[in-house]
Amino acid sequence: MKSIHPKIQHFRINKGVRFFFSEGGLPAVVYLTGSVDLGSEVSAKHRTLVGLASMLFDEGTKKRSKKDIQEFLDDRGAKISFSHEGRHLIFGVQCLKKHFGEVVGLLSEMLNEPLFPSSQFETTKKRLATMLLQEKEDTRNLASVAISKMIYSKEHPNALSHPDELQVALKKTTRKDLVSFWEGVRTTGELLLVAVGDLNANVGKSAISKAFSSWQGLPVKPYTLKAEASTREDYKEIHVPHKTSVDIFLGARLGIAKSHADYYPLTVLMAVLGSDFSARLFQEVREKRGLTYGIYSYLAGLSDRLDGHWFVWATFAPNLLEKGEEAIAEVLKDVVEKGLTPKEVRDAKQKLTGRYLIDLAVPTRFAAVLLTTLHDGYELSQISNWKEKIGKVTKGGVDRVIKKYIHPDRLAVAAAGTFPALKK
Amino acid sequence: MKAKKALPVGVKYVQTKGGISEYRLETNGLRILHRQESVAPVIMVMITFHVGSRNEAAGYTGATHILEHLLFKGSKKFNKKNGKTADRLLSTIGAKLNATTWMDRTNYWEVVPKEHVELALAIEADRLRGALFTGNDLKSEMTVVRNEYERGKNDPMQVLDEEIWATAYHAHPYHHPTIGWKSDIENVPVERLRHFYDTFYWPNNATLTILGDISSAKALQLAKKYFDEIPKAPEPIPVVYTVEPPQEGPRYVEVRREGQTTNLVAVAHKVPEGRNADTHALQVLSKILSGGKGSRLHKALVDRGLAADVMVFDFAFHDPGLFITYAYLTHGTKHETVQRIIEDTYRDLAVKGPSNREVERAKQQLLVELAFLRDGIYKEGSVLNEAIALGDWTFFATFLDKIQDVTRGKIQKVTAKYFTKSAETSGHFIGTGAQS
Repeated sequence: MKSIHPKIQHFRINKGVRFFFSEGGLPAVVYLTGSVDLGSEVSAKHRTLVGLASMLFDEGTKKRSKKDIQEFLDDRGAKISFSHEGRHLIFGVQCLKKHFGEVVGLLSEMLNEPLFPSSQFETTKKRLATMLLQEKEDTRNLASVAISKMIYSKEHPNALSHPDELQVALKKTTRKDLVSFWEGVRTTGELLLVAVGDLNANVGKSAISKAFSSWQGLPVKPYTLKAEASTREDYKEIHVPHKTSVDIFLGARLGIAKSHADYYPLTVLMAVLGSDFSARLFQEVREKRGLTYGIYSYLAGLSDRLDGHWFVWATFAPNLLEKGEEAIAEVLKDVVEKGLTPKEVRDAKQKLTGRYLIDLAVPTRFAAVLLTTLHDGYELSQISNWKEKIGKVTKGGVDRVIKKYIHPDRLAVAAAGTFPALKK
Repeated sequence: MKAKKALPVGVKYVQTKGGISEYRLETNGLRILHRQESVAPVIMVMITFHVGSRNEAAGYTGATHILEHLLFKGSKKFNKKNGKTADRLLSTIGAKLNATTWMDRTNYWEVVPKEHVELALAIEADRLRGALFTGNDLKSEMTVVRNEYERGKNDPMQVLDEEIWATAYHAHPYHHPTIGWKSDIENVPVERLRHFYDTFYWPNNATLTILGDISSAKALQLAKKYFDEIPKAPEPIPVVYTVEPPQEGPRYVEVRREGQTTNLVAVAHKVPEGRNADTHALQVLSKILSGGKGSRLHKALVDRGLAADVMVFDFAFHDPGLFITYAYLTHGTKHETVQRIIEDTYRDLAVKGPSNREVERAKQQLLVELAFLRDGIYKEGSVLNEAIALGDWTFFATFLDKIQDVTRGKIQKVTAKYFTKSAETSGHFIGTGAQS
């Protein structure tokens, strides 16, 4: 065992399994989150298989029927959930501390020996098809998918799949495809586990070792950053009937990963531009002009090796969309022409470090931050170093990244909603 | 009792339940709730006003919510003119902050690093009687609130939910949505909002909650420092006396959307106010119906491929509310089929009752969920806020003990009592694009 962070203990269970633990904060219960690395495949078929697997893990294992699993969890008031994000299958476990060992044992069975029963396979496909139909009417989702396709090539992990593409892939997917897909993941995907709560570290380690020592995954082979064409400047409107609010995304690819020195000044810039109520976009577009309920800007899609993008997201009534876009353009123009004030940079640094402290005070949030840090390829020292690196950002550094990355005349724009008439 | 010791003059100790202590400021009647939690160096400050959309009527529906927005426009000591706006000051220290409005309450909250607790208290104290909003503020904020309304209308479930409440309630103000009717949002005059503020925003109509890394002595000393000089309301706070008449037959509402594919079923029944002795049995029942994949409705609808998802909402409100089941239908499933299965499931529980094992499982789920409410002080504050709103903050503190007293017989009895066909309000959201 080696201690990386004063509160975090790290155990390597085998070459493809790592376990991290932080004690305290949750009396009588334990929260476990973790992930399985799924590789850099990004096709709609791959994403469909991950979605189906997430929905079918608790439908039966080689040792337990679906009924056995349901009764086991319900008797203990425990929960095991699955989702997926980027290149990872994510899981979460909530249980009383006295049940931790046996619940983790069930999680192991689900991941190591899932049955994906044919009796539930078609029903699950039907449910997933319904969810995709709902996504097709979700204006935020549609605009987000559209801008990702403008910013990235279709091979890039950050390019999202349209619900129609997933629907086509779903129709073609068989149970045999799913079994073979998961067999491949089991022999290659690194398993990360992060637990917080009322547990002794050695008891936790012992339970995880017992459950996962046979996992055959391998350490992650990170995505290799490739030089790709930059953002396609374009404007796309996606018409969805009977919607009273339009979701709009404006953004551009950065071409850098989190490991790049520009990441930290860009983080400070986004805090000034659109992170909360006091940010420039919120103050101008909502507070002063009353055009929107919500407007924010973010960095997204970046990890240690993976390049990402920056974007603005807002909602407007269809008849106020044009005014909203004008207001956003004016805020961006002002930032580009005048830069930020020294006070803005100073305040943003204080805000970011203060908020980090508040976020980490929530045990389950702490676990999520830890898992993301690991996904990004960092050592755990990054959690404490992050504050230091933000602290070193200067106004000059932020002004430099504004000139380098923020080009209001070269943005990709995607809007989804009900438009009185298509603009372009 | 430790909580009683060394109280500042003018602060009265009331009671301690579940580790939370209640006090009163004797000068103005402000209730104070406090719990020390020193796991992390952060503190939550929350002020809950006992006013929500149940205090509104035709012409000013949504007023409570618009007022909540306007209270971010500045107050006597924290405003744009003096360069000290609350959101900027709080944001700069990394605080998390927001405000929310619902049927029975409005709350304003901040989670701050512990050394900044005085800033949060000063802002909330000043906002209580010193709000500065004007007609121009309302003019720009109206379109903001209207966009919030429009965003809600994008979501089929919110649309159906609004129709269900409006159909189930004829007289009681739970009839109208918290965000208000669109024409009221667009036209309510600022004078009406100012009157609303002057009627309900007083310390004797509020609860101040302080949770986190702060002792009771310090919390009470600061609460007294910032709130003690605020006078109590000059007039009695108006009471809502409207009672919803008994429902004498099933009601049905339908929303049709051309070209959309989402299909939903809602089945709602009126249940008593949150403080009623039947509430805990209803909370256990909601878990038996939809808590986990072994629950009755999940097995009857999702496992059979009839619904993509099913959920039950049984919020405990100040006045009699609704127990609602929602189901997202899979493609090709008929609304009538799903509604009948939901009704049959209720009927079976009313006739035979749940098994003992179902009851124990539901209690176990609630036990674990309650333990996870200690996952950061914001979560605990949010649940406490809803208990304050229903009129008894100890609802949260005593919840688990009362759940343990629920029996299968009690659940059978409440199901038979409340889940009758004549007291039902059902709704279908029909996306004609999928079914035609």
